[in-house]
Amino acid sequence: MIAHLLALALLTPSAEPPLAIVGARVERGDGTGLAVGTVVVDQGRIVDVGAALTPPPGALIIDGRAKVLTPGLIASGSQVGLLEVDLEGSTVDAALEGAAVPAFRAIDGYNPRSWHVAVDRAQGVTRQVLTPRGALVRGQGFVVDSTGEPTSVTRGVRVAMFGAVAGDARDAAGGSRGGALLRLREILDDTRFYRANKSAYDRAQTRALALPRVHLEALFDVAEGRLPFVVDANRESDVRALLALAAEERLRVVVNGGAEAWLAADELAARKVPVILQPSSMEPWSFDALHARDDAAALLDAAGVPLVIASSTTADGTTRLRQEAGVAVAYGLPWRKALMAITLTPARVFGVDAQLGSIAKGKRADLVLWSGDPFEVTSAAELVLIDGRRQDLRTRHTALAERYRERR
Amino acid sequence: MNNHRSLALLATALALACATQPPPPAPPVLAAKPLARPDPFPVAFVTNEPSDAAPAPAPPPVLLRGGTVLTAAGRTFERGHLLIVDGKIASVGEGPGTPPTGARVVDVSGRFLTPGLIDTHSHMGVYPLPGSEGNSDGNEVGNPNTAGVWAEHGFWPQDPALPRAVAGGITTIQVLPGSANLIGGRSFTAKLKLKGSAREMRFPGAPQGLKMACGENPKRVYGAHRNGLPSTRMGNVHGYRKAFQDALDYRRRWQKYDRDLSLWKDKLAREQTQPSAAPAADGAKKPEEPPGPFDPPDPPARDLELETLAKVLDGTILVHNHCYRADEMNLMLDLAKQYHFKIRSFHHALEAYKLRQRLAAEGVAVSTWADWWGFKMESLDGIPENAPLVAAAGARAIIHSDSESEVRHLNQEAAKALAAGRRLGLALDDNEALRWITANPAWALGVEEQTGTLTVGKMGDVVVWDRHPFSVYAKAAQVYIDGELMFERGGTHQVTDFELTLPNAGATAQTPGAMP
Repeated sequence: MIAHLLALALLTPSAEPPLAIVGARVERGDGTGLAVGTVVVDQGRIVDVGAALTPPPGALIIDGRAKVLTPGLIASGSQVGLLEVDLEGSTVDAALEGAAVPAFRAIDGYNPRSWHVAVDRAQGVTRQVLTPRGALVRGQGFVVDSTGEPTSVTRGVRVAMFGAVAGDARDAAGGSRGGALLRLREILDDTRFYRANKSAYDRAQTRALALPRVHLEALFDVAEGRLPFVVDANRESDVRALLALAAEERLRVVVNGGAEAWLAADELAARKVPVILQPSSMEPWSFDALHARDDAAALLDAAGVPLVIASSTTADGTTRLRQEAGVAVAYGLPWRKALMAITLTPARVFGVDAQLGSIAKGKRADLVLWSGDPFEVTSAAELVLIDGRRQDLRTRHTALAERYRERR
Repeated sequence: MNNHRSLALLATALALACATQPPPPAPPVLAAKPLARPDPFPVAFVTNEPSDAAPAPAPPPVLLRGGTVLTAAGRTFERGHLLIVDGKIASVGEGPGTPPTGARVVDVSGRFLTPGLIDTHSHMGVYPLPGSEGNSDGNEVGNPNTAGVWAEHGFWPQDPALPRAVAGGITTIQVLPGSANLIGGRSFTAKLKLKGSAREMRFPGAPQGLKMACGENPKRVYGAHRNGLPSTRMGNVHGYRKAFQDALDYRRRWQKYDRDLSLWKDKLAREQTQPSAAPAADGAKKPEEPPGPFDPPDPPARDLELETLAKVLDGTILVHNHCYRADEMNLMLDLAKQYHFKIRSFHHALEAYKLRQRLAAEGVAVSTWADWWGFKMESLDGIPENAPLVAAAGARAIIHSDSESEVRHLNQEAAKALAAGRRLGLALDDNEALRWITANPAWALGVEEQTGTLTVGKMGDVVVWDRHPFSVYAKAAQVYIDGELMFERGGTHQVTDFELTLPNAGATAQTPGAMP
């Protein structure tokens, strides 16, 4: 299934001539950069990167001088395109009812024509990790591009299962964290049982199982440790309980939220468990986040924890992703680590780093040319490429601003 | 028949006579000036609280020198100085300044000074961190009109969001009731020197505000959730009209009482100075005034809801109206005109850019975000250029937070909006954008004479930033409130009781980061 979708994803027909961005500061997203460099794009791919390159003949030259070139940003935890107007239920397709719905594929309700997709694209977000909302096991997440085209759905790649052990998950599992973990263990156990006893199940010769067939099937890759299980966990004890569950069940887990994860940084690093967090909201917003601190990203990184930065997805889509990276830098995260945290690291965590996440020969040409430091809110994306194609940066916002600029 | 007719004529004549008599000296209903008595509804009467905390002893003078001083009053002084004496700005300008005896001299070379930031839209203290049912005190949803409640009375001064806001450069906030109600209650303007009670944190002399809300929230809370009124925008407007009609009547009753009281006092005074003549010696009876005691007039029954609205009609409570859509803002301005009150500012106001000329002409401020949009129908047309377009039209633009996270980087939000405006081709300077989070919110809260710019005579509310505040990497290095150092990164900071044993806003001194 994954291989099939990846194969589809590779089909990026392009009749456009080669394109060379010349003279920009190139920040590759992998922790390295070129003070002045040239990047050549052809057939949707990055074909060359270097400090002293001669663009191929016939290439469209883009002057990148005094500008900064980065990989396209990858927004984790996004519900963009799954909802249009959050308070209008008829426009929201981000969750399926039920405590555990692993078969739910949020991408089936993804709308590439959403106004939000265009707005986020204009902020340099070229890939979204569609993330279902919900309770204990929320369903599967997919990486989609931000082209706004129907192909973004067909080319979407399944990258993770999402869930939680506190908050709504706790409530859905009988009102305690212990209940949530109990239920998770039961579901994983029944997943393995079902896998081993499929034919008996089809003959109705098994006991009743924790979830219907489709849901158990969707968990095979999670139970085998092949598909990451991204779990909302903020309190230190939840993070540690998740680590224990992962060890016990041999799962690949990712901590999402991670307000207090810095307190378990050494253990997270030792087990190479990534943390996804939002640096600007490190205040004690809940009893699960009493030990949140502003320099959490820097502390996790210093301990060696793979770090992914996400933005809030409620009132502003994922447009603040780069601002969040800037906030992390303000609180001590090295700049290039912050760029990695919104490019290459999420690509690695979600298993798409062979194709995405950095400016490297052979990778897909998701590139953003910025007017200045991309983390500064005063900078703007001037050129956005997805699979080598120039993206339209006009949005509903720009249309409104233009209509009303001269109107009295 | 004739008799009937003449009776009817007589009645008409009497009515005409009544109508054509010179009217009683009516009080000015339309004028927004106070009544004869300075405050018919004194605060102390309602709350039994002294009006404000006893003034604290002034901190020693402090001279900040060597930094770039962004005054928000037009001028910028490179390598300038700022002197605070007795909690007030005593000197600001070029050069190193002269420290008075006993002054603390702080070298702020390479740093940037701005006025303390002001957030016009906060729910800190009434929806404190961490989120809990027990401490949710921001919306009294029992009735669409709860004009009688005060945010100050629901304010928890141990909210750990408060010291974090100070670490973000915030020195003054307006705490508002939530937007469930059409008329939510009185706001509370506080200085962020943390004390044990809301009263002690009151911004001295700041007028109270009134929170009103348009649109979806009241509809949803009362209609969709409770099957009550309002469930439509029609119902919303009916609710405001009813409330303000009642307030006009109520105010008239009090004005009549004031008039009667004053007549009674005059009469009493006359009686005392001109006692009635002694009975005539011949004992002959003379027509007398009716006997009986000179009872003072009875005051009308007090009504705490209407009392708040009457103060709005008097102009002593400032209206802050949560309202997203341009058509609704237009409607509210019309309604305010009908009922003779002023709207001081619209909040959120995502479509303010669509009626910016009217807002400028009528002197209405706009508190908004840089980039929140699309989360409900009435927020669909929010654009990042909103504040800049409003500012370019000559109205007062304000960036507010409505969030315990966003309040910690209001400077970044102002920068974001400024950049959007410039990309649209609007000529806006840094001073103007700085005013969106300093001078303009001070005006909206009615404290522009006391704070909001670095101007001699104003309160010593100052932020020292480690770099230009419009950088995402900028952090407050020091924050002074009334000349007192309330926050120093890695040093002095306020800690609420709640935070004891927890990491807090000032505990860590982070190395300033930036693009290499």
